[in-house]
Amino acid sequence: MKVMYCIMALLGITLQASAWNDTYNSIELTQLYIVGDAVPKGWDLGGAEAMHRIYEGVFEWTGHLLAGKEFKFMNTNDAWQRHIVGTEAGLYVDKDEVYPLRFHSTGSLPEELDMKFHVADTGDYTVYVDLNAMRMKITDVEVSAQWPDRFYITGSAIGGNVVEIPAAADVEHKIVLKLNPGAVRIMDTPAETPHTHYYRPLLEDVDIQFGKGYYAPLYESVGEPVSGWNVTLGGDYALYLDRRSKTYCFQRYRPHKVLYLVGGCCQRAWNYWDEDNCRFYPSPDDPDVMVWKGELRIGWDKSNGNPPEPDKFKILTAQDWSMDTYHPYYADADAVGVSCARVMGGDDIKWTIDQDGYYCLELNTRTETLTGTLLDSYPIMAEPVDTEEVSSTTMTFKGKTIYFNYQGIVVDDGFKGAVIAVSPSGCRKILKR
Amino acid sequence: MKNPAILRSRSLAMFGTALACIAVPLPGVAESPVAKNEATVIAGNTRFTILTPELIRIEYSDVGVFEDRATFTIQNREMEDVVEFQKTEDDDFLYLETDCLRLKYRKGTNPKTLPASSKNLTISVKNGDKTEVWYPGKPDPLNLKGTCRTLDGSNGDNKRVELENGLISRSGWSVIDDSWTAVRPDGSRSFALVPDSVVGYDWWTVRKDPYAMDMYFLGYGKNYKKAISDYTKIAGKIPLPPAYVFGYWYSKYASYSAEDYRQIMSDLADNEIPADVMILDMDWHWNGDSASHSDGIGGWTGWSWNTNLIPEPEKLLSDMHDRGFHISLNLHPADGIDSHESPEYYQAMTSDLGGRYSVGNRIEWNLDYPDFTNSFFNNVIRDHEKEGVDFWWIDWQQHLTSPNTSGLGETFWCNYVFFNDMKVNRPDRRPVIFHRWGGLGSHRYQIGFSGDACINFPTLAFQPYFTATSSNVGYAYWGHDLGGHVVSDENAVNDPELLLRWIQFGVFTPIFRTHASNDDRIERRIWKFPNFQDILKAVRLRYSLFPYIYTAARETYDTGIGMCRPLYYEYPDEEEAYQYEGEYFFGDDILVAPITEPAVDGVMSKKEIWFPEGNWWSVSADQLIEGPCVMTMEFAADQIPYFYREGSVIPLNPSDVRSVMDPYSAIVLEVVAGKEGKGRLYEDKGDHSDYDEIYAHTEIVHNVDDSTEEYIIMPRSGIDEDLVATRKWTINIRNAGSPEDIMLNGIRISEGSWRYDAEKRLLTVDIPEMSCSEKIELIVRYSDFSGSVKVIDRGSPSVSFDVNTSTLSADFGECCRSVVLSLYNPVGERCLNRVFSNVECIREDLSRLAGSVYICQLTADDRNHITKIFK
Repeated sequence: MKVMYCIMALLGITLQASAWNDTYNSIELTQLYIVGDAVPKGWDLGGAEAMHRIYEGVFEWTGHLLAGKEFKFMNTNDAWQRHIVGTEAGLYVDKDEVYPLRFHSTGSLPEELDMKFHVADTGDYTVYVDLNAMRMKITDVEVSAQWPDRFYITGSAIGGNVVEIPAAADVEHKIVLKLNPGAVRIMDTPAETPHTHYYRPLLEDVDIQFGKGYYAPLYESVGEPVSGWNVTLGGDYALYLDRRSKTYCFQRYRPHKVLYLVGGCCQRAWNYWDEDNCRFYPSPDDPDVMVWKGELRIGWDKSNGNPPEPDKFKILTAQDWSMDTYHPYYADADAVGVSCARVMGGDDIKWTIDQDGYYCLELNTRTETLTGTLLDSYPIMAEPVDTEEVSSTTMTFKGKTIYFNYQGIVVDDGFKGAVIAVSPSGCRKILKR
Repeated sequence: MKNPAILRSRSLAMFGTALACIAVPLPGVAESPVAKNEATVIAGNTRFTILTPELIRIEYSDVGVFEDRATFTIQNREMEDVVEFQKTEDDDFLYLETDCLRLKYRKGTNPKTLPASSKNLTISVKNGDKTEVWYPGKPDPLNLKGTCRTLDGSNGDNKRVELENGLISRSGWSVIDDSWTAVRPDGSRSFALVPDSVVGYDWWTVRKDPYAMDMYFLGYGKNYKKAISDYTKIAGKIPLPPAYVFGYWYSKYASYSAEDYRQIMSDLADNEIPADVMILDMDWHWNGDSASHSDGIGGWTGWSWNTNLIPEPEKLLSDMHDRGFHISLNLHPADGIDSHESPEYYQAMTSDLGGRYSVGNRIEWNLDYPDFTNSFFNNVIRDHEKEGVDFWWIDWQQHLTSPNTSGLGETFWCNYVFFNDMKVNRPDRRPVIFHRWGGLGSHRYQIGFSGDACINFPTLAFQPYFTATSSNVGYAYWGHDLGGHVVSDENAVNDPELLLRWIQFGVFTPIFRTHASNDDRIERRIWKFPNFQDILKAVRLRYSLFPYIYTAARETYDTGIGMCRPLYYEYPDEEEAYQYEGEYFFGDDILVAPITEPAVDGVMSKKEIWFPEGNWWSVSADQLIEGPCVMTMEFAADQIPYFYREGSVIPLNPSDVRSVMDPYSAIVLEVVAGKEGKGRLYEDKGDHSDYDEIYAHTEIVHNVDDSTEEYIIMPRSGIDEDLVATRKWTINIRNAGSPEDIMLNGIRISEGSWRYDAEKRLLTVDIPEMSCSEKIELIVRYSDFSGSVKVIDRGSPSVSFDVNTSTLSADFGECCRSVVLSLYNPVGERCLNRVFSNVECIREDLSRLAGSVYICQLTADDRNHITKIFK
């Protein structure tokens, strides 16, 4: 067995046999941190900057490195346990050179194995690490700093046509496009010229579905058309370009079958399990439109005290907080009227109602717009009763509440007294004053 | 500033030299891990090996050291035929071209750049009409995935995100990164293997250059089956398990005593439940639990019988064998061998090892090392095998990688060692283990124990997809805890419908095993359930299907294609083949769409099913379905949505068979008339290790010529030692028209030898016992055309609306191919539009519609019916 230990030592693998965590001595491909007095967060492991994961095991970090100071990588920020270092002591790394890495799993890495990196010149750099191949590299910062006002998409996947990706307010550019197998690229002019700026992904020709759900930086080139995104599977795709973070996100577009309304003004507040109250259904006329009709009351559900954000709501795509969620562009957007919605990126902001009543919410998931209608701002005078009383009444209405007296005759809005109110969301008995 | 490039080269060169001195390749490793010279091209520090026209190995080593030994993933690189390829080069690039791939390499470079780019290496591959270009490190979001280590904690489809990449992709290419640096999801790595004289089989060692790139590029386009099949040519075959594993496994984690086990066996027999495997979960050994009368001895790990529960283990195992059971014991090895729990084993191993690996009163688990392994197997495992244990259920749940060897995966290595030990030390029988997936290469240690899933319908719903998708990495034998393992919903614990549907799904999976945790609330004795007769029907169906299943298992061994297969293997161009992921093929000829949701009305379960191109015989409806189409069908509790391919020939056991080890003295052939086809019956002795050569098979040919069909059972071929010499056959011809003339081996047979059920369109012909070496030719001339569907009665449908449940029901009296239900509100807006196929009745929940009057329009085939409903 001594031979094995010698080999392991040669490999630069150090072990601490007393720990018995699941993978304590194994490298993890999901996280990486950069630490050292060369980086802004210094040797503060708990506060260390997580490197951006490009994909499994491959990371990127852009930031400021101080000349002559040290940096290395840690596979966890829980403890000084899993170190990723170089193979030479005191190594100064040159831009665009690739350097091998070594992994050591130990709580006390000997100085002779703790081989850190340095740069000769202070400045902003991009650092790449590939844990699959155990290599690292630093480069100049390349991410596009300036964004044009307009973006266009072209390529064989749209038959060589050029389509503008329209801006939505000052927040983002977005479009749902039908793409055929082929390729697409994004540019800032409606026709390609020698001065056209192209905006490309980090990894050339990567499939357009890569990075689903994640925003990634765009890189800029001028002149020659670049290899943008590959489209392997034809279909509808939603393309988002986020102006605030200067990042992009593309994903396959498919109409939703369900959505869920949650918020402080909902009958079950933030509980998404009660489908009777919170579920959206597809419009029978337009599969892109999801419809919810029902009652909203400010601070309605007090079963657990006053609900947080009593006048607000947002829309979930699944009964799961970790899945995509629809939000307005701006905090506290009025639920009534037409407002832009976004499922990707942005903060956890909500729509607001300013009065109780029956609402119709129609979310067009293709255009990402929410159309809210206040159907009936009733006074809450009586609890609902069974609907059987009017179950055989024939009605003709369209988005409006109709009032019947107890003889089944329609009365006008100004009628005072006990009536049966029939709206698209149901029937109930109320007292009109 | 120092020159880092020079320093780097020097240090790695020294490192490589040191390794080369230590880890010299030894002869006899694996099959033939060294590729033929003619298949390799070396360009500086890069080596390419052309393995098939679609498969190229790409190595790069800073120090120019390449790996020619087997690894955990790859066993064989010497392909039978060297692939023809063109090699050209110019000043900058080397070009290699096969019939399927074009490789372009910038000479003198590392093929993989950082970040990944096409700068140094590309491979072009045709994917349908499009040419895709790959470069090392290019991400693939369209990979069709493989499997994951376990379904422990599976709830709904939460395990979907854990599925590792598979060997096939809609991108048309995939990559096996067998570099030592490429960490597997459990943190483990792919080591090399060298012979070891202590254990008698190959042992792990470090790679020659552990930092070298070692990738396999698979550019198979949409030829998914060939990709997987070729993978097993280089990664090793999927071993054929012994026949008994395809029977019913009784299993439940409980502190069963010997008498409990005997009672269970009696109950199984009394209820006429066929069964072939008995599992003894961890309470067979001292577990430290007073409830198990363990008196503080032992714990999670244990090696000695709890004699308070099982005082005479050999006698119990002998009784089990006498009743026809094969036996497996559960092991949680991680805590090693405790002197208190297993004093005799502890003493023997301490003596063997001279105290090595001992800490306190425990010998720590050190399967990393041959001396520990040898002593452990010689003392502990051999002893239990002599008592009667047939195979081991290894249930590793602790640290995923070794505390002693960085990157040595405990799951993979346990699989490897237990399987190879059985192969070397029990040559009289077929090696088999029951464990978890430990990463690529685990298919060689065949049966997977999927683990502790939650008991609920959404978790069941994930398993058809999970099971079939695992074939994408050759992991063809997942065995699930049918019924689920742990309680997640009190209402579902012993839900008879859930258990039934889970077992019905299990019929069409590789391993048929009920199980659950040691929770007193959970019942797994199927005879205790109120719907036992339905469950029993499913168990018997499993036994009927055994000849088809075992034949499929042999095909898995021969081709690498698992018996549960995603639809896209056969229909890669159809989008539905990817979307309807709850459906799969079971073997070549059965399409299965398990019910994984409760019945809406407590009686009938609806299922939307996509049928690919071709015609499909619905076994539950006795009806031929014409694809491609999507149908919403209804199934009663005892019905399973499975469909025979038109023309297929499916060998079954008679319904009264009680053990899968019974010889095939009678076989039922299920044939779907209307189209030509063929079938096969595979036979062997069931548990011999030389099945690669000692086996036999019988081909069945199905020919169609207008209204005449031929069903020819060919003479059995192969080595048929210890197999039955004669056999009775029953041929069930489905979708059969009325027979006009039936000839058996040229002689017209009388009506007493055949039966025709016009309602079911079933012709049954009994063929008396005949020699298996004799050809049997049955010719049937039909008076009407096979392939027609039932005649539809043209009455008006009965439509009703239940105000209380807001359910609209319509009954058409006969099956309708197409039903369109539309509801209009009083202003003429369409509020609902639903399409059904192949239904006799429909039920639609209208609770989401507002209270109003609606015009209901039903179009059933060519009949139109309009009514008004009030809600």
